[in-house]
Parts: sequence; structure tokens; C-alpha cells
Amino acid sequence: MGLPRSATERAEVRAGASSATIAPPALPRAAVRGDGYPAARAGGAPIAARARGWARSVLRFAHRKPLGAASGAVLTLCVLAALLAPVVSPHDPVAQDVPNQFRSPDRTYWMGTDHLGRDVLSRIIHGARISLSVGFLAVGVAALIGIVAGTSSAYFGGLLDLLLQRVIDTMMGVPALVVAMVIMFVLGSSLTNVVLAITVAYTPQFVRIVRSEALAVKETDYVVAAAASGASSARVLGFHIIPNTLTSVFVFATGALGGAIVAEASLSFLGLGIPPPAPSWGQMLQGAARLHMETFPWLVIFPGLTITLVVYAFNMLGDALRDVLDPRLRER
Amino acid sequence: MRVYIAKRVLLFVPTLAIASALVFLVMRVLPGDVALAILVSRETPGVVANEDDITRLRAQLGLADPLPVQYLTWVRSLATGNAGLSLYTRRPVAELIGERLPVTLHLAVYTVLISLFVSIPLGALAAVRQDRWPDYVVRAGTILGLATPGFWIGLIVLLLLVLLFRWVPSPVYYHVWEDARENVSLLVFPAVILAWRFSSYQARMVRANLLEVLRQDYIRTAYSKGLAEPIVVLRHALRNAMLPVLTLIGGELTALMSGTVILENVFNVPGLGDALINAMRQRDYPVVENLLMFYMTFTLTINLVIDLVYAVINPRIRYAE
Repeated sequence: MGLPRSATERAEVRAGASSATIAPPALPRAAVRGDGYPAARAGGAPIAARARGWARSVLRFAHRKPLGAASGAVLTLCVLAALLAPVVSPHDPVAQDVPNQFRSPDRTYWMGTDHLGRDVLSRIIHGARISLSVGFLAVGVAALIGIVAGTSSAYFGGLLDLLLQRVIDTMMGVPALVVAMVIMFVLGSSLTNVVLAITVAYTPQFVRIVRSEALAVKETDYVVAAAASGASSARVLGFHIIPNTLTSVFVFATGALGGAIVAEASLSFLGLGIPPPAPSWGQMLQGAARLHMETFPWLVIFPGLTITLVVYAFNMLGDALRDVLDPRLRER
Repeated sequence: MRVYIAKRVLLFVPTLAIASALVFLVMRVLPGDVALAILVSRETPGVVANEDDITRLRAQLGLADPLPVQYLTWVRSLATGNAGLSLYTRRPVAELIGERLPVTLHLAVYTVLISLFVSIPLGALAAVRQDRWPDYVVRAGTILGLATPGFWIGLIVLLLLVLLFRWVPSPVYYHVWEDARENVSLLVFPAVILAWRFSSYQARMVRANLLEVLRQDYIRTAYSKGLAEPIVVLRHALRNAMLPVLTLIGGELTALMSGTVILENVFNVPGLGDALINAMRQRDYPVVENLLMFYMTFTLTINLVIDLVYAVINPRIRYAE
């Protein structure tokens, strides 16, 4: 089963690579974008038909990219666990029960208990809320800033572009974690500040990606035609340029979510993230867990495995989405 | 090429200016009253900081001046090299950096060496055997390397070392010239863990580039001349595929500086990142501020050097203009 699939894939990839080098970049792109959004093209189609179309494209995605689809399923599960945390977690994540400390995994405590007798599994489930909300918020805000700053930088050019790009260059040249650490140090540890610090770390990359995409779109005939027919800057940006940068933003954001989750875990691990007793995956690996890990290894194994699995899933989903949505960027 | 180099070097001045402005913004404008922040955290929660103490500390840190004056004073002290007197040891931060930087550089150099030795052969192997099992193994390994957080792998490695070999990292740091064996045995684990991540980036890059180069006409020509595959791949293709990898290393060194902070913490390595975390714990504002400035200057300089080296060895830039 594996052989023909890889063979066709290879053929596809070759075709994609050669057409990308020969054909003008604008052409295959427009065609793909039209294909990529059947629902949007349907416009006023009845809701049932639209839902059927959507289900079909999900199925097609699962068939072409089984690993990507599996990652999507893992992440859906993770989001559900986060949303339903109070319902699905077997114990209270913060209630202390010191007589029950350091219980090894058994039938009541599937992943054991920590130094205060708190259930590790429940803390991981509740930790998903923190990790995912930090991830989605930080990446969402960074993407928004990236879209606004990137498109205007590309569209208006001039001094704005020059200054903004210098700032972005500088920010991309410095170690992101160090900057995030210092921001946390200055502002104090809280959930909002973690989101802020990670947003600062990711914004430059979004600005860079959106800008380069917008620069390419700006030169296309339909944008020139729109401007020539008297459309205002706001209209050209909002209706023509921004929608065409969204695919790249979406693809990069999926991978960035994994990075943001590791960043939150790293900050919390260093004691600069979410303050205790709120359960965060990084914080669960710190302090008592680290001190006692030789005797009670489950304290560091389960939270770390969770982070790895979730980040892996985000990376795989990001890769798969890139292959499907953006053939120009397809990995060879 | 001269114009390119001159441009790139001249651009470095505004870049440094922006970096210093960003540091100043984060350290002096964002927190509000720094003197108050230092004193309050040191007092027990109920006790209010003494008004005289605040005034004195403010004067000591030069916080009494208006912000533009503060900025200029700070930049001047950076230029003379005696910026950032520690609140505790009264030593300038430059001395601290002189002590800690070599440790971090050791770790960084080990990491880069290991990752280059691993990533180039593996990336090339994956490209040559595309869509067969070596390729799948390399791809799976690299994706895993990108997904696993370094500090967690660090903890697991420590755990295994203790459980299997009863080995604990030495509490004392030895320089290479003092005790090479101790130095390597302390740094090899964090270096290998960091190298896994960085060789994953590099191997993917080498693979992707090599696949592209292998489809070029001159490679087909080389094959049709009857050259053996190893010669075509090693002498003709790999050289061209390697160029973009070099620029990747620039961005990597920046990320490496983040990585060392965390792994120094896990493995008790007394490097620059350890100094930063200690300064934060003591709320030593001047040290944090100037360490941040140093981190930024250091990585920006390395990126500049990499760009220049790239310009020198890449004929397309060398002969342009």
C-alpha cells in the first residue's frame, strides 16, 4: 500500500517542482486558490451542500495525508479535553491531599500523584487549557499584528517599510526566549504576561511572512486593475491583498502553535511563566518533580510526553496543511 | 561585492541603535518604577519600602534623570565598557560576561560541531534514498527532534544517567584546559540534546536542497559521463546544496542562545544563561539589562559575520554589481 502512494506522490512533487520553476508564479497560484475553497465559490449554496462539500474535503485530506489527519484528531481530542476539563478530569487539579503524596500510577490515579498529593492526570488535562489558550491567543494576536503590519509595510512601502523592516530584522536577530524571559521578569508572572511575551517573540516572523506574500500579490494584474478602476487603498488591502496572504499565515500559524506551547512550557519551567498553583505543563516539570524524579519518574515523564505529543501533532498538521494548501512550498 | 559589504556593515549601526532602544524600552519604560520594584520584592509583603531608600536607590541607578538623559548616559557607559554595576557584587557586567561567556561558547561550539557532523551525511542520505526507508527514518527522527522540548529530554537523560550509571553532573565546572575529561563529560549531554534539534533543521534543509540540485542538468551530465554516484553526489551536488545551509546556521545560532539558557539550567552549567537567571532571581536590574543588551549585540554580530562570509563564498553575490 505504501509503495504506489509514495510513487504518485513523487510524481506529483516532480510536476510541482518543475512547473514552479518554469511557469510564472501568479498562474498556478490563482488556479489553486480557486480550487482550495469550494465552499467560498459556492457562495449562496444551501447549507447542507456546503456541509457536504466540507466533509468531502476533510475526507480527501485524511486520505492524502493520513499522518496529518491523525494529528488533527489528536489535537481535536486535546481541545475537547481542555474545554471539558472539569467534567473529564477524575480529580481536582489543585486540591492538596498530602497523605496521598507520590502515589505511583494505579487504578485511581492513572498517572500517579505529586508531592502535594495532586492527581497528575487531572493536572495535565487542566494544563491543556493553559497551554492551548496561551498558544492560540499569542499566535492569534501575533498573526493579526503580522497581517496588518506586513500588508501595509508591503503596500505603502517607503519610510514605513524601511523603519519597520529594520525593527523586524533586529528582533529576529535576537534570541526569542531570552527576550520573553526578560519581559516576564519585568512584568511579573501571570497568564496575560506570558501571552504578551510569546506574542512579542512571534510577531516579527508573521510580519516577515505576510510582507513577502503581499509584495508578490501587489504586483499581480488584478490588484493593479482594482487600483486603476478607482478602488481605495483600504479596499485593495482588505479585499484583494489580505485574503491572499491568509493561506501562508494559516499554515505558519499551525506550526507556530507548537512553538508557542513549548515557549510557555519553557518559561514556566524556568519559574517565569504561569504562577502556581495553576497547573501548567512546564511548571509540572519544575521544582519538586525535578528534585524527586529519580524516585518518582512519572512526575516528569507524563507531562513531558504530553508536550511532545501535542507539539508533534501541531508540526505534522502544519506540514500536511502546507502540502495541501500551498503547493509552491511543498517539501520535496 | 564591496558595496554589498559596506551596506551590510553600515546597516549594523542603526540595527544596534534599535536594539539598545528596545532594551531600554523593556527595562526602563515598561516596569514603571524600577527602584520600587527592587525594594518591594526584597521586603516582606506587609512592609512598605522606606521613602529614603527608594530615593537613594533611584539616584544610585541613575533613575532620577528624565528618560532621554538616562538613555544617553546608559549608551555612553556601554561604549566605555563599565555599564551595569551589579547591585550585589558591585562589579561591572563585563567582568561577569568575561567569566561566563567562554562556558556558553564551549557548549555552543560542541553543539554546532556535533550537529554538522550528523546532519550533512544524514540529510544527503535521505535525499539520495528519497522515499525509501533511510529517508523515512531521517524524516521521522528530525520531526521528533523539532517537537521534543529540550529541557524535557534533558531531564529524561539526567534521569537515565542517574538510574543506569549512577552518574550525576559535577557540581564544579572545569575549563577544558583544567580538566578536559570533566569539561567534556559535563557538556556532552546538553550539547548532544541541543544538536539533535539543530541537526534536525539542517538535515531537512540539506535534504530539500540536495533533492533540488540533483534534478539539475549538470548532474545528469555528470551521470551520463559515467561518474559514480558517490562522486556526483559528494563533489558536484552537495557543494551547491550546502550554501543555503550556511545562512540557516546564522538563525540557528540565535536560537542556540535560547537553547543554552534552558539546558544550562537543567545541567547546572555555569554559563551566561545561568548568570541571567540568577540575576533575575536577585532582581539585579542593571545586570539583567546589560546581559540582555549583550545577548542582542552578540547574536546580531554573529548574524552579520555569517552574512559577510556567505557573500564571500557565494559567487552570485561575489560577482554581482
